[in-house]
Amino acid sequence: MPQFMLISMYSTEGAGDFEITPEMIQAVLEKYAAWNEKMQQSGRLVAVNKLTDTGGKRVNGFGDRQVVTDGPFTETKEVVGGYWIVEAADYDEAVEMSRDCPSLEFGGFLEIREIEDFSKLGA
Amino acid sequence: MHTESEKVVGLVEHLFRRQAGRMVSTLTRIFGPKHLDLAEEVVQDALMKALQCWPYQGTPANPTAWLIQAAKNRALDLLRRETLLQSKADDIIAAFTPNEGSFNRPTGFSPLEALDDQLGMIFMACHPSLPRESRVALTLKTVGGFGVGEIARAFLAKEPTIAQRLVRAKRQIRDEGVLFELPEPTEMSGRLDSVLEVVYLLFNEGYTAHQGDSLVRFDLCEEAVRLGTLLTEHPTTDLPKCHALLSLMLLQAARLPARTSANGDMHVLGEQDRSLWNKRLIHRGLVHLDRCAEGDEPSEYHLQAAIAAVHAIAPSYRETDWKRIVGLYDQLAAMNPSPVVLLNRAVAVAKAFGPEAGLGALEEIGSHPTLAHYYLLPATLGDLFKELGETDKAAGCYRQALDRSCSEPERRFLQGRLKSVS
Repeated sequence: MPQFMLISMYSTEGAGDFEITPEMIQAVLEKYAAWNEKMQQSGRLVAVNKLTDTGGKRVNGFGDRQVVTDGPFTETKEVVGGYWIVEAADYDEAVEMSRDCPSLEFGGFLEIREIEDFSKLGA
Repeated sequence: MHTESEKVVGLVEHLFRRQAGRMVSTLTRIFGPKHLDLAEEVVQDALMKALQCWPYQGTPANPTAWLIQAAKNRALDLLRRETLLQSKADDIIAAFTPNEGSFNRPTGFSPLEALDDQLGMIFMACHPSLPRESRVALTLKTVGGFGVGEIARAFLAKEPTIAQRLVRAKRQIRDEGVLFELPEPTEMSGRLDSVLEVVYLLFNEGYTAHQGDSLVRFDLCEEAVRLGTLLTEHPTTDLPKCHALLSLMLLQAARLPARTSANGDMHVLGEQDRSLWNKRLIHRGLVHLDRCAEGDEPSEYHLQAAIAAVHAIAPSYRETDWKRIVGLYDQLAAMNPSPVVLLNRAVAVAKAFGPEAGLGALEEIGSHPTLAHYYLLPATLGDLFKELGETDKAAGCYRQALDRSCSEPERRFLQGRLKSVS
């Protein structure tokens, strides 16, 4: 079955002064627990990882002009938080699995990309 | 990674809120009252870390331990930035390390330390020099773990108003050098009065069915009962008046399920379905009523709790021991002849001795200025006239009551009454 990466992203712009209370955090996490449970039960979850929010490095250029910069990268408006890799029949199904992801309720978005299956491209 | 079957199904209700309250309290003790903002920052960061990680990591098997560890890490990070506080590192480690610290004492050893910190915070937040509204907001924000928005909704205030109130309160604490400590025995009674006032205010705010977010308001009752319970659990505050207030709150809270119907209609005591009263809370309330009888002088809370108990054990409104209630109100009125107390007494008098006697009692307080805007006075008069068959007078009274301000459920209730005599 094809695999898709659900990349969880959020925008750093308009992070906003709005308050996130302990009670709100708990409510969101309970939704995530339910969503993850659903994913697990479906047997389609292949992998999940979170990327650290601090740090990071960028390597640009090559040779004498190669530059290594330290994160966070303030000029980047969209940040990758983490990803889930799921099995799905096609994009439609991958989208259906993603629709109730809780990050969508809180200003985040999911980019869904199919993982290239090299076996289909020839030996 | 855990499989779902190994994990806790759902989190304990208000886990984050309660844990935030405990951790802010301990950090404020360690950093000092002047650094309350920092304590809140550390705790908020720890909670946000959970928000960032748990969606991917899954809910940890021990969520509380995870949060404590996150707070410890964040606090130690913060100490690198705040040079003045670097000496506190050992205290942080001592408080936040499993099997040694405040949060992880096995119950047989000494559960007092975590309780100590919450109480220390309550006494600080309820310091008598702070305006009462500030004490309420600060208590909810710190030891309660409520957010500014939640507090604003509960009190029908604007968020910036509450935010400003908190800023001023913290500044006052800094400027006046308010300490984080349990009061000396000689001061305890007075300081406790200040705390009990706040706790009861919180309870009442949640209990009286005004407009507003009903979920948050129910949380207020729960929080008030929780704080009241903490007070009775600590040796230095385990005093009769604390048991009295706790008893009162438990006995009233027991009636909540019968007080409001599903569509938000209000049921007065006489119309409540008593089978909906929470028996467990009544039992607890009566236990604490017993405990508070050990003191010398009854406080107002004692008397109010005793009155609530008479209602709680009565099988019906009619079968209530009204004469006993009148006697208790007589004692209460002697201590605090407020118009509201006297009004409630008049209702009891009517029940015990008949509507004419009730009218007489009401006549004595009818012209009191405080009651001029209180809808319950004309409403009670209306009820008595209705009972005497004087429907015109009753209708007039209900109309007068409707002219006075009240909540939507109260308005509907009065309109129902008016209809019944028109």
